[in-house]
Amino acid sequence: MTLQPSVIALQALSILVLLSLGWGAFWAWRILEGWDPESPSERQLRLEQRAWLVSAVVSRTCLAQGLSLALFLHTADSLHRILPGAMCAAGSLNANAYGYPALLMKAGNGMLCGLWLILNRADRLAESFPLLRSRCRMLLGMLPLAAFEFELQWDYFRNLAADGPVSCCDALFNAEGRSVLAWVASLPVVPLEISFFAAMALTLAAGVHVLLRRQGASLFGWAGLAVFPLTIASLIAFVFPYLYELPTHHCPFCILQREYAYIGYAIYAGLLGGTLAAAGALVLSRCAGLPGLEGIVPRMQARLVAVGLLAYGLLTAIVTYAVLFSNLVLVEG
Amino acid sequence: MIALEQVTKVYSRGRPEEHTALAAVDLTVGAGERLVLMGPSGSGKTTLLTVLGTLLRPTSGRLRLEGRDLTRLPEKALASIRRRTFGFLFQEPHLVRGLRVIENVLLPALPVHEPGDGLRERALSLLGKFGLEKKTLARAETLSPGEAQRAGLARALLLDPQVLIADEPTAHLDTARARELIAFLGSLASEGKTLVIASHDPLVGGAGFVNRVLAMRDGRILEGSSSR
Repeated sequence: MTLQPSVIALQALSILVLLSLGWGAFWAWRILEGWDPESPSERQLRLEQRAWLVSAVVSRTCLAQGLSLALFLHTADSLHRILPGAMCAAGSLNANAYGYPALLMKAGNGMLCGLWLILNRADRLAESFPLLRSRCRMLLGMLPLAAFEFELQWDYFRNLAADGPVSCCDALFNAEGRSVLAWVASLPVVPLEISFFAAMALTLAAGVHVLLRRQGASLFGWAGLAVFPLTIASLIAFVFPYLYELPTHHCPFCILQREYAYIGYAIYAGLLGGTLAAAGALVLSRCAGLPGLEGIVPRMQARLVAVGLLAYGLLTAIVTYAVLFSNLVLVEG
Repeated sequence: MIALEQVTKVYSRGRPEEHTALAAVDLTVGAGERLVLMGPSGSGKTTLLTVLGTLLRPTSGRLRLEGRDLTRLPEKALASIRRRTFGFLFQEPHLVRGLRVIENVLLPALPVHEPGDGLRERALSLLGKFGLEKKTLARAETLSPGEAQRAGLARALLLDPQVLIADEPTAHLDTARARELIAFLGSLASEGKTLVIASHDPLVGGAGFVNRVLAMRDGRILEGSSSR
């Protein structure tokens, strides 16, 4: 086990998240079992107060989960200094079989937490708890996923060995390789650039349409979900090489380092923030017909779309800057 | 309209000193109604007022305001409703010593962040209405008990609540001052405010503006309470 301060902080944070979700899931189960909104009984009143407490505690837990993802990335990046052969988080995460699965679980759980926060917000505004059962079921599902994530993270740090060489990012994300990532890195730049900017323009236009007309949030949601894999491919295939100013360097983790002004955090925040906002708008459109949510859903969707526009705007601005001002020329004019 | 449905309040639940202050109380207070709760000490009057005014959550039962269930609201939302809907006048006016009378009356405006000028004029107008226009700059501790209670009344009315809740408002006043305060309460009734008053002072129960008197004992509203 590597006992760096950030590793200890991360493990402690994950234990807290797990305990808090466990406590929340226990009450979620009790609420699902005994909830009767029409009853004036003491039990029901206690459940209602507990529902508020669960909402408050799990909200903060979900925020901590987001923090945990950023800290995990930062820790993985900092660990490359003690792992022979590693140059960034790509090598650190590849040091054993648990690194990448842990990262993917963290990202997935982070998105789930974000969606839970959105549903929670809508439910709190509605007062009559129309989404309470959905939130409780979701919480019950999030607990085993968080436990699995903790297990992966624990195994990752426990099995980190600083005495053997690990692969560097060049070996992992080389366009000449045979992996899926290598295939993505070798995608043709021009069609991908056109696809990325066209898809992003359509998504932004869909968002503006929602803000102006107060309709079409589902379209924005689907557009956001569709643009996610395209953006990942674009980042690896041409955006990162532009930023590194190296045509063969496609690593999605070196960009998190100081040499690149930590711009990777802004890129991933833009991508994940936009995707979460789009997914949130989409999920909310499924709840629009529920009693008590009539006025709340369109208002929240408009806010989510505004957040999504900001996030995608930031991402597009960085990508545009990279394409226009990089000293690297990938496409001959 | 405010409605209490099967409201029970139990203090120190599950402990040896457990005490049921309210036992399955049903009560509806209509808009503009002037209701007095009478009963001996310990009968549950103050608990009923505090539950009604959302200062205390019931152990079971529902509290509704215009049909909206307040029982399940979080404290933040409840505080906002309480500030807009209810004014409170307690047995003791609880003015802040060291502050001037006008500053005490303006205290409820602090968390509201409303423009100060309009509220200051309203505060001065209320102090004038209750005969305290010459005391606006006096320190709270220099007021007589009657003046302090009237300053408390002005403070309770600063944000123009729909409902005034008063708990034993005449308890520390002599008969003349009590009659004076009752007259002021009567003037509020004529303005259409809803008044809910707990008192065991017969002067309050017999006041002309009161249109319903309910008797309480052992946490229950007694059958056959009078209406006017």
